[in-house]
Parts: sequence; C-alpha cells; structure tokens
Amino acid sequence: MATTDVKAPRRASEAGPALDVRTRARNHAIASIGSVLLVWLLVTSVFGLLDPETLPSPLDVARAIATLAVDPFSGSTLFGHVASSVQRWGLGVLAAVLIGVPTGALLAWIPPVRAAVTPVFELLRYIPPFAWIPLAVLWFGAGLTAQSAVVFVAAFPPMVINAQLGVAQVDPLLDKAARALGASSATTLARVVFPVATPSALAGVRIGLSNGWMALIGAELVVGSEGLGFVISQAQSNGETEVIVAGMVCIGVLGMLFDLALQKLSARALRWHA
Amino acid sequence: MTTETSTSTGRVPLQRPYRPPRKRGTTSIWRRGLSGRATFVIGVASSATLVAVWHLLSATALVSPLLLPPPLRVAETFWQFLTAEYLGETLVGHTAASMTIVAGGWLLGGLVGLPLGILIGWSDRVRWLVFPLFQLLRPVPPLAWIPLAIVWLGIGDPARIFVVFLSAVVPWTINSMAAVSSVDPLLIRAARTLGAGDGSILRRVVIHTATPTLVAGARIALGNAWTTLIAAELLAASAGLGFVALNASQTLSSDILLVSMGIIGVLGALFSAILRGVGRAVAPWAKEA
Amino acid sequence: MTHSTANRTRGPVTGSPTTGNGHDPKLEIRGVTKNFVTRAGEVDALASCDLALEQGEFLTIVGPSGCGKSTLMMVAAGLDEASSGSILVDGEPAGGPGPQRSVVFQRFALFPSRTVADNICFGMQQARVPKPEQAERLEEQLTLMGLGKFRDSYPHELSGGMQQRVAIARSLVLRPEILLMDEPFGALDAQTRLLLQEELVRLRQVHRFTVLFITHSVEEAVYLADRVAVMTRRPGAIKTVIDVPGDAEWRSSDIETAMGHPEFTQLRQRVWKLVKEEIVAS
Repeated sequence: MATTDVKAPRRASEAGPALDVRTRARNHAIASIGSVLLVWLLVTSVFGLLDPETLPSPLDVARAIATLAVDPFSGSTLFGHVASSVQRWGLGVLAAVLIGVPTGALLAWIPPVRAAVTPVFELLRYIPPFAWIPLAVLWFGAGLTAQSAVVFVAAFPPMVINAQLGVAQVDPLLDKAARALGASSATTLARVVFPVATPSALAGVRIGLSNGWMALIGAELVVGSEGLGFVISQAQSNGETEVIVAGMVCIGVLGMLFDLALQKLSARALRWHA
Repeated sequence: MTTETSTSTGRVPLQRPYRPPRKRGTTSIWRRGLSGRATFVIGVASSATLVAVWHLLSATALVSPLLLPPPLRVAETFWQFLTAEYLGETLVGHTAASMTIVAGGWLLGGLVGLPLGILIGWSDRVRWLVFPLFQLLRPVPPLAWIPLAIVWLGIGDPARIFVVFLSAVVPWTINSMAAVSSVDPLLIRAARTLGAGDGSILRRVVIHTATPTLVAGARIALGNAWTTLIAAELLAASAGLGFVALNASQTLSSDILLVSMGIIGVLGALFSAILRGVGRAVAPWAKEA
Repeated sequence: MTHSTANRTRGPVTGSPTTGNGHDPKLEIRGVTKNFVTRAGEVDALASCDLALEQGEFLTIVGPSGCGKSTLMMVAAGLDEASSGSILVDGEPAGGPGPQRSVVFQRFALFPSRTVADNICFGMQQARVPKPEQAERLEEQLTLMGLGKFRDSYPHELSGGMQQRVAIARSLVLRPEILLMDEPFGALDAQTRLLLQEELVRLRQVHRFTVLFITHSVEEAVYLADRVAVMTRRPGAIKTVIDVPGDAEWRSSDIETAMGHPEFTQLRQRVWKLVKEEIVAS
C-alpha cells in the first residue's frame, strides 16, 4: 500500500533529500546575497550599464575602503574618523545607560516618582532626536558635546522604558515571597527584582545603542568636521560616490558589530534565562 | 503497592536558620500604589514646576534668553508664526510640507513592506531568500542613505521621500512578517480541518488574526518616518519643520526653534495616538498590549 | 450477543485490523509509521499503528505522555503525512484534512478575531453553505451547546469550558462523519471536564458520529469509549485494544456514579496497569 496522499504544506522536507531546515535556510541566504552581489558587479564593472558616479562597482568600493584606511580624507584616515565617531557615540550611550536604567527602575519601583516624571517624559520622547540637533548646536556649539548630547537623547528613552518595564513586570508574588522570607526592601530589590528585570533592561540598552548610533550619523551629517557621517556628507559634496558607499558600509558594519557584541554580552549575563 | 523511596540524597539540609518576617511596615509609603487622581495631580504639579523653573531661569537671566527663551515668549511666537511667514511659509505651510513627505514615504513603505512582510512570514522559501538581504541592509541607518539619495535624486522632495520610505519600509516589513509568523500554527491547522484552503487561510485566519500587530507595525513605521524626515529636512530642504529648526538655530532664533521642536513632538505623539485608535477600532477583540 | 466474558482483551493487533464486530470500518489506520528528521538525525515517533473504527463507534486512545498519541491523531486528520501506511475512510484513501473528519484540539484553536457565531460558521462559509441554512444550523448548535448568550462574545471573553464548547460546536455544525478529539478536555479544570464528558455522551446520542478520542485520563477513556486502545511508549504502537461492554450497568449513569461501580473500577485498573507498564519501562 502506498503512503497516503496527504497534503502537508509548510513542511521542511518536501523537496527530495532530507536536509534539515537550517541548512536549507543557509543555502537560500547564500544564493540570494550572492546573486545580488553578482548583479551589482555585472551592471557596474562588467557591462557598465550604470556610470560609477551613480553606482560604483563593489570593487571600487573595496578600493575606496582600502584607500581611506591609509590616506587621510578630509583631515584624517578612516581609523581617525571611526575613532571620533565611536568616542562621541560611546560618551552619549554611556551617559544614557548610567542615567536611563536607574531612572527606569526608579519609575517602576516608586509610584510617586512615576506620576511626577511620566507626563514630562512622554511629552519629550516624541520629539525625535534629530530635532534636538539644532538646539544642541545652539547650546553646545558644533562639536563633541552637541553630538554626544544628541546620542544621549536618542538612546535614553528606550533604556528608561525597558528598565521600567522590566521592573514593573516582576511578579508581585516574588516581592511578597522575598519579604515573607525576611528580605529587606534593598535586598529584595538587589536579589529578586534586578535579576528578573535584567533581560528587559538589556534589551532596552541594545535598542538604545543602535538608536544612538543612528542619531550620531545624523548629527555628523548635519554638523561637525569628523566622523563617518561627515565622511559620507563630504564625499557627496565632492561627488565621490564610491566613498559614500564605502562610508555606508563602514557605518553598517560597525553598527552590526556593536549589536553583536552586546548580544554576546547579554547572552553571557543571562545564562539563567531561558 | 510498593512505597516510593526517594533515590536522591533525601532530606534537603537547611542552609540558613529561618528568620521570621519583619513585623514593621508591610509596604513603605513610597511603594504604595496611587489612585488615578493622585497620579494626575502629581503629574500636573510636576509639569507646572518644570515650566515655572524654566520661566525663572530665563526671567532671572540665569540662562541667556538667547539660548532658552522664556515659556511665554515661545507661546507668543507660536501664535504669531501661525499666520506670519518665516522662511517663505507660515507654520501651517511648513507643517503641511513635512506631512506630505512623511505621508508619501510612509505609504510607499506600506505598499512595499506590508505585502512583502506577509509573504516573508507566510512562505519559508521567500523568508530564506529575502530576509538575509534585509539583515544585511538593516544596520545602515536610513539617514546614511541621504548623501546617496541626493546624488541619485538631487536635493528635492524625491530624495526625502526616498529616505523616509527606507526608514518606514523596514518596520512595515519586519512587523508584518512577525505578525504573520506569530499566528498560532494550531489556528492554521484548525482552519484546514474546517475545509479552508491556503488562500482562504491567509486571508481569513492569518491576516485577520495578525491585524493588531500589522497596525502596530504601521505605527512604528510612521514614527520612524517622522524621525527620519526631520533629519532629512536638516540636510536638504527648503521648507518643513526640520528646515525651520535648523535655520532658527543658525540665526539664534531660539523661540522659533522651540516652537518647531514642540510641533514636531506633538505631531509625533498625535500620529502614534491616531494609529493606536485605529488599532483598537479594527481589532476590538485584541487585548491591549 | 451476550457479554458474559465482558472485558475481553485483544492481543496486540497484527495484520489487518477489524472493527469491534467485524463490519467494514468507517475509519481505518493501516500500518501508519512516522519519523521526523531533526539535526540529531531521524527520530521514530510511531512504530506501526493499526486501528479500525466502525460507523458510530467511540474509540479512545490512552498511552504514556510522549508516546505519539497526538502525532497519530494529526496523521489521522490529514494534517501530518505518515512516513508509511495509510488512512482510509470508508475504504478509500482519506487525503488532506477536511470537514468530514473534524478535529477538536486540546487548546481549543478558536480564531481570536472572530466572535463565537463567526467561529462556528467558519467551516460552513468555506463550504459555501447557503446563508439561511447557515443561520439555522448556527442556532441549532448554539442551543445544543448552551452558547446562546455568548454568540457575539470573542473567545478571550469566555472560560476554557465555554471555549471548548464553541470548538465542539464549530466541528459538529459541519455534520462530520468522523470526529477526531485530541485531548479535548485536557486543558480544563476537573469540574468543567466532568460536565463536558457527560455532555459528549449526550451529544453522541443525538448524532451518531464516529469518534477517535485521545486522552491521558484512564477514567475518561473507559467512561466514554466503546473500545479503549492502549499505546506503547515511544515509538508508539497500539499495544492492546480493550472492549468496554456496551450493556454494562454504569454506562447509562453519570460519571460519578459510574466511577463507584465495581465493574468500572476493575476495568479502569486493568487499563491503568497496561499504561503503567509502559511508563515504568521507559
């Protein structure tokens, strides 16, 4: 007797040999990314359908990255610009973590503080970080402080919101149980509430870091004379499209690296968490 | 029946002597919940205090009014700006200019992202093919596309719409994908046993169930679009609220700067509130998230 | 036919299965096996399973957790493909899932975005049943399941027991020939469960559908069934099929009374012993 002709769509092993799902997903990813790169190469370098000022070939972009790494562009090499961007970003997000996470915890833990801060916070958080750029420039001048301030403004809200969410979602029963076992308020906070709230708070930090990176690029595009955002805006005025794309690649890669690093860190910190 | 004997080490040793719970104060006054009215009163009081402090700072010239104009002057400027032109438009004109671009980019993003996301969520193969490309492009902030957009499209509306589109299309797609793939597979199986085919399941079960998440995606996309537009207007525009803010900053017109920031914030909040309302209206059955 | 040797135990079923009394089976599970491909390699979920249900029969399957009961059910419903073997309805290969083999799931599987009435009508809409008839059949089910008050409620507004009533109504409204129930009362509290068990017995007196019913509760299996199939531990196979005498006294009584009956207790203990052998051995 043959097997039933039961139709079961969305099944992983429909096509031929039994490959597991991950392998098949990986093969598809390689195929799609590979073909996009191939098309890019074909329309630029091989057939020259697009002129390099519109879309440079991947080879030009690679060459531009290599050149940027050794020859100064608008004042410093690629590493100099990266260092400057990372510094401003680092300052802004560090301040956001140090202020934002405790603020969030406080907001969740102490209702009167929440009642006082929430309306103001809710009003301000709808102003996009970029709208602060002109004010930051007005207040601090077009330099490190203004850009770090914009990073701070971008990174702060998700850190507050997620830390608050993390603490608020701690089961009140745990709090009660800890107190019934004789824990003081401080002990409860440190040993029961914070561990439970950490995953959410870390998720907020992660969002904040990437928001901050985005805001920094925006700030550098508008004002300042160093950093990756400045590089691409300068390259646009010079008409060097391959440098624009090279800068975009660097921005993307760095953003991804920061995110990966934080993911690894939080995975390590949250080993107890399912 | 045999009695079960534990195979483990048996009794768990007491690790610490038991301390009886504290008698004093079960919940500290700071930790007690507040009534809705108390919350409201405290909120109003804190907001009023903030405005008062702001007023005192600039009235006593502790902070230069050039950097922080007093609240009353900001309100006055807002009133005048409603009818008087600044940089060629009234406040209404600049707001309309910004909103047109946002609407364009956001709708285009939805036109592409909504069906794409639904498709990615529905079909493994499309997801495997398209999602890696998305992941590759996602770390590049939409803003970083502005210089390239200017090279391609010049300084004008199309460049800004393009950048706004980029910022909106990602949340449209990702959330639609998440919405569709988070629909309980059991519901799909149930629909199948009730005689529904693929198309019917996608339309009547998956998209229907996913509606609240789809609307949430639209809301996030609109927020992103608005944020990105402001940045784009700082760079390449001849009208719009971001353009006003930057020019005001350069000419030290801090009152106009604060007015434009305020409007940007209020509109952002308004968009969010409207789409929350839409979400409730189209999916009354969904529990509030 | 007399049931002097009441609870006759069938040995492990080998070869082609037959129904309780030798008629042509309504639903037949023939030599079904199932294995999954995972990263770790192939996993056998079901060894060969054979069962046959005659028209109108109520067959329950009990077995240790993880023995593949639910997998077997999904294959029977056409929602999963068997690795080998076949599912036959009236002697014909059954094909994909469809309303003639309606499934009631443990987790209700109600559409959260649809009201009770909409959920019940879903299958009829698929089958393009004419509107007036839909309305009529909807009313009939609402009355039958005691859901009249809740017709415009959304599933999340209902208790678990009410939700499962809706799910059962959604199946029954299609007038299925076969009802496949996958631990339908498993997610309910004990009291609701008792009520729905009795309700199911009552419903069967109205519609004589054929039921394949999975449960991990031995009482439930014995109380509801015409025959009880016990499954082995993973990879699951049918270990034994036990007849429940149709004329036993307790069958006409409610479940509490039945449970107090010595004959019921005896039968329950027998089934439990068979299940326990499998749990202990694994």
